[in-house]
Amino acid sequence: MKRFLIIDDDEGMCWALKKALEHENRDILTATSGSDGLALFNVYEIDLIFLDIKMQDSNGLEVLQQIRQQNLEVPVLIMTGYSSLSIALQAIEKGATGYLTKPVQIPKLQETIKKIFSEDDITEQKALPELPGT
Amino acid sequence: MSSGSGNAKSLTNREKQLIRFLRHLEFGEIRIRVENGQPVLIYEAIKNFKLDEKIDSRNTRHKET
Repeated sequence: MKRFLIIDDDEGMCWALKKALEHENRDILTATSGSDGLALFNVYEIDLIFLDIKMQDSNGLEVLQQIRQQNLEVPVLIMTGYSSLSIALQAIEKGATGYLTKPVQIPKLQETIKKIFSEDDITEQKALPELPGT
Repeated sequence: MSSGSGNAKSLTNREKQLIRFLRHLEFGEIRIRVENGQPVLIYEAIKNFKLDEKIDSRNTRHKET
């Protein structure tokens, strides 16, 4: 069981992401503010965080910094609609694991999650069907 | 004969930012937008963990599930 935390002040985005990522082996928590997200992070063991940068009550980069002060290992995936080289650089300097610009395509998101939890890759490669004539 | 460095242009601010980004990423993949030979946007980037780092991270968890 993996537990994901989505921090985004857009409730619609939280709902859509939660629906898209729901899986029997996943527990998905959502928070619509940085402070609520940090509160959940302090209570639960989280395997992956999706973090918006521009939120009404807080700056996602500051939230990322606070997360990293407590935990250097949990993967944090930044998702932003206000992308620039400078923001991407700040995010990676503060310890982001990944960076995606909105709108995020769900297949791309699933692929990114798979890369973060890459232990499943070998199993899936073995399951690929053989091409006809090979 | 040329030394190869006499005509080298200095890096632009955007090029420097991209290099800093790559150095912080360490391992991974990125997709960027380039305009007029300059990086203008990073669409996506993902840092890949080395196996030993993943094992270490699992051994350093403290919170209860």
